[in-house]
Amino acid sequence: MDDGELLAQVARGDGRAFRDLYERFADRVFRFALTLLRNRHLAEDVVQETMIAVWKGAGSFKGRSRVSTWIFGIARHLAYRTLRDEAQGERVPEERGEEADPCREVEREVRVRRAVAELPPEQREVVFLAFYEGLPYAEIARVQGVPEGTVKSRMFHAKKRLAEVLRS
Amino acid sequence: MTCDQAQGLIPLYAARALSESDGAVLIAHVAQCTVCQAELVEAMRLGHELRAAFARLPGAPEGTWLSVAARTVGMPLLQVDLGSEVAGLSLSVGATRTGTPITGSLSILGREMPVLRI
Repeated sequence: MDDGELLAQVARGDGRAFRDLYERFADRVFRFALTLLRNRHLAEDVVQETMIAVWKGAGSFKGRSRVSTWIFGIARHLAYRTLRDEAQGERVPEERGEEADPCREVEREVRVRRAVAELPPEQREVVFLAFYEGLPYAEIARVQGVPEGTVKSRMFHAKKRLAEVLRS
Repeated sequence: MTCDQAQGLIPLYAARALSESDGAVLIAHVAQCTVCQAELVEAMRLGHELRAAFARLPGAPEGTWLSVAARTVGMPLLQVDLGSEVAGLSLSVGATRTGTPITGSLSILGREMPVLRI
């Protein structure tokens, strides 16, 4: 069953379908929120609120985008609200990144994660949604609520920065 | 296709987010352009590393579903599991509160049947 069919069942109040949809998206939304917020507790809150919004709003999904685009759009909205709350004083400290491992492959992976973490949030999102979720620019533009050209520009700068950092 | 156009598409190709037809046009260009070839190799490597790094991030904590369920489909009130995994037989009885009603289900060998609704 594809995501759209599952969401249609959720819209009819099917709890089992909702559990299945949760299983499909919880980890992905958590990783997306963690990439943006860099804090596991806040990322878990985003997963909870996103899935509750999905349950309540499933009937309003019109199928004009992918289900994943819709869900990541909700998660993004909630993650940025959290970032705004942080900026207004309810700050939760960022978690420290991993220490470098003597094993070269792991060390390289830690460097990649650190390089991503140092990007501006909008670029981190683009990198996550393109490389991990495999969303095309048009869908990323819907998630971010910006023109496709802006997504391309963010990708260009992110890729340039990542290449510089990882080459050094 | 110009190099500028190709380099706009290379990150998408590396992210596996490019359509098959656009991918074919890109590869036709890259096959004849050493500059774009180098860009593509670097983007493919970066894409692989990024996917691996994101995939190793932790997933949602196990208890998250219970918090979500409590505010949507209802919290499990009772869960009893009986049976033997060694013998491949299991029996579970559960009850879930979904708002006011309470529903129960019986699960045998992975097949769940609703048995109660109050």
